[in-house]
Amino acid sequence: MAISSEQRVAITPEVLSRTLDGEAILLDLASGTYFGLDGVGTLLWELFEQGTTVGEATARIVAVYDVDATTARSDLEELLSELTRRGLVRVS
Amino acid sequence: MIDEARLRQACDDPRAWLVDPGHARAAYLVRRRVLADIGAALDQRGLAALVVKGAALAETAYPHPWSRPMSDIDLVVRPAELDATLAALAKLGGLVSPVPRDRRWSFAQLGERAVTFQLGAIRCLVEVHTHIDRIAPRPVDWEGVRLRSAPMSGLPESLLAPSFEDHALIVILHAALSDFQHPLAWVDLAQLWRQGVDVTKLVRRAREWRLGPACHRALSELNAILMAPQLNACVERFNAGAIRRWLIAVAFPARPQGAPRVLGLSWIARQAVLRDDPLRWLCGTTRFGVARLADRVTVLASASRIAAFASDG
Repeated sequence: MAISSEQRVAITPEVLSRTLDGEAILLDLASGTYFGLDGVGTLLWELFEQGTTVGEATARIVAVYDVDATTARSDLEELLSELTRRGLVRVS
Repeated sequence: MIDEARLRQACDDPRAWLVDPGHARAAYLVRRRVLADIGAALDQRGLAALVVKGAALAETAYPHPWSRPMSDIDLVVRPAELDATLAALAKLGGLVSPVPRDRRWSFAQLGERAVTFQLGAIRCLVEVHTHIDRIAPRPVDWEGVRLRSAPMSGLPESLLAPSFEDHALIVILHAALSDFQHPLAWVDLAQLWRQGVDVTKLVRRAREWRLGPACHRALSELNAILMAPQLNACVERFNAGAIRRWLIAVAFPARPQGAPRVLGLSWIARQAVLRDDPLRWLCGTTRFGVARLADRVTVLASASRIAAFASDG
């Protein structure tokens, strides 16, 4: 999945989400399926909600979790790939 | 059979009651969305509703609002605003259940209408009540409950949550109607108690609402579950005398068994034990009996008309 740093992530309108006790809960109303995200996933989801670009989100992960940019980008792309596959987000 | 250890644990931490916390969190998202939409629709029309039981307790008394499981959202509206509220919910996309054809006369006495919201693949049931009692409503001062209520955090101002004292009495009333077989009532009461219930206000309102015997039964049970000595004095203030206590103990054996609640003659007999207003109860049950009879006569008359039409054809 090739994503440029300038791209933003749009959350599908049929997805309800909220961070509860530090964990983002996503509910896909179309299928009735729910998902829970771990700490990094929760931070990324909150950044996506704010309209942050992929590049800015990567930089934030690097700053918060003290990982190198390659690892952060790889984690982000893996999450985006999974969320896109499940129809929860679109990368615009 | 209810697992008492689990119930006790849930009174301490309601998450212990949940079988699937992930599902409870997802259900909470749906509930918040539906409440937000309902609140906005009522706000727009200058209406307001009390949110009672689970949906409001989750937000006001539970440490984690998602941890209160529930099957529906309960609203209490002014009788004069029932139709306008139902119209607002229907406009929002809710499906208002019609009055059952075989309950044309008695249905109104139950004081509730069901509205179903469909969010994609998920359904959310909202019950709109004008009171939450059954057959012969106790003299609950719903306007007073409204005056003492407060808007729910993060939701439109038209959605009001009762004060802790009022809510404790509403939970006790609902528990009584369920023959004290609704285990979450104890978890709800434990959370309210933790938030701080003013016992003097509770006792005064319980007497006004004619809920003394139900309070005695419910708080005795809560005391036994929580093993909280500070509840003893409160229970004593509802002491209804030895004979009434014995009758209540016979009608409602200690400890919830998890049996389903069924409206019927035995239920009416058991409920009579809890009533402080026998005349009102007698009038209410008689009125309900007559209405049920009228339901049956109407159904029979309608069936015979259909049969006559079929044979003419």
